[in-house]
Amino acid sequence: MLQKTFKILLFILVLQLSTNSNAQGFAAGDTSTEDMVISYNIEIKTGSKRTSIAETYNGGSKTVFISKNKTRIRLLSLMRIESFFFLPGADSTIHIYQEKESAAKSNPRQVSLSNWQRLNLKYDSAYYKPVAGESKKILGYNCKKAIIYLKDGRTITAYYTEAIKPLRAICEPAFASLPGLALEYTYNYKSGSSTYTATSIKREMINPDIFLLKGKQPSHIRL
Amino acid sequence: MPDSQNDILKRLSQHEEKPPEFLFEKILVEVRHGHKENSWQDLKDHSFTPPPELYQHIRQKWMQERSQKRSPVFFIRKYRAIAAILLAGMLAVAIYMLLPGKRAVEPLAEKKPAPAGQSIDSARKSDSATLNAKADTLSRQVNRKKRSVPAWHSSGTQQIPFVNNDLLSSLMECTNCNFAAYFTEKKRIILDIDQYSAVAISDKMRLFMQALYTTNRRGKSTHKSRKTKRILVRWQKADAAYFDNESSRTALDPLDLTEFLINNNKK
Repeated sequence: MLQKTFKILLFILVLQLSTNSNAQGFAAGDTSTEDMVISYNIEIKTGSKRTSIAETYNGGSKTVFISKNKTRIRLLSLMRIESFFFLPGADSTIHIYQEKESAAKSNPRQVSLSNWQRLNLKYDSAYYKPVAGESKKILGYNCKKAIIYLKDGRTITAYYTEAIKPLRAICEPAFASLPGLALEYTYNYKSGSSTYTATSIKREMINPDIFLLKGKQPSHIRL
Repeated sequence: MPDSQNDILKRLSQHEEKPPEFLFEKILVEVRHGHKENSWQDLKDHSFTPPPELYQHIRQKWMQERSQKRSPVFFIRKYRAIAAILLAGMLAVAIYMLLPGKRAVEPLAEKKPAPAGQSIDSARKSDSATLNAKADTLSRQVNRKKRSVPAWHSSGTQQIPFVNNDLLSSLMECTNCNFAAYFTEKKRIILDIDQYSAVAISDKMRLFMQALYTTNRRGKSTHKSRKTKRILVRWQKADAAYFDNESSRTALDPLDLTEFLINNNKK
């Protein structure tokens, strides 16, 4: 009995050590351009007890796919599935596409640079201030706390890690000023808030279909 | 002759004679002063036992009369009581069947949400494992409540058609799917889309969507179910009106999304 318990404890210890070394490995060798998938969990708090439309997004996820010069940011929720594709064009420029997948007929549309700028106008001249002494560990990464200030007075609280390179500024203009990748961020509005927390970071070969517009959608979902 | 007799009787009937004055006075005095009180008392104390055969005869007669008179009433009352009990029983069953909360499978042990840092994959795996373990118990529970709760897949996981690539529509349209029981459980529900993406349904939403799958005794959706569906459709329209065909905001932006959701925090 004692021997069995000891074996289990040893197994857990080995597992823990391997997980930690994996996280540190990511941190040390992050200069590579290998594929990476970052998943965030979305938590919405409305400050009210009643069930509202917010619950259709609460529990949703945001997934960032990075493969060399391609990036896709996908929002997945009960209410809406939508993606932004950042794909390289023939003229070495980045082409941005918006695709609402949760529709009878998926119709991706190209977002012009001017439209993209208009969409992200609020993040122009945004800057961050680190909050000294406040940090937390997310997925094994040491994350520093920072407040991002927008020009209109709104703020975003973020925890970022310098161990992972941030996304290209064009992909996430909100965090363009941060020196690392935001693994958790919260936006407080009135009595409510939304928090995006990284739940997994995977370094693995991404299926090329992920970067296809009008990509093949699954016929079934698994419950 | 008869005429003369009638005449006499007639005369006799009309005849009256005043009693002597002293006799009247005497009777009056006796009545007033209770002269006879002692004799009444004697009569009161007097007891007389009837012959036993007379008692038996009276009792027999009484019993006979009672049974003859009361038996139909008694039977009517009996049938009424039985009918009332049956009716009450049927009413109780009807109320029980109509109650949406009672129609669900008894909730299983509450499962804590996956901690931050645990990948969705692992959370999903543990969920599947739990589902498999509970499947038999649940199917037994479901069989007991055949009419109210649809059968549970023994595998513990289930595939549902992805209608228009829309999760909410898929859940709303799939009325014949056997996943109502999932929504009655007090545990985290995770919808897998592909190897990269999954959506967790919040507790509030799970409770809200329970009503979507309630059916009445005839298997038709209840008023509450139709109302829930109307609300969900209204939300879909509001969401589409706010984000679709609008180049200045997007649901992928955390600020745009949060402000929309908080500002529309009404049913």
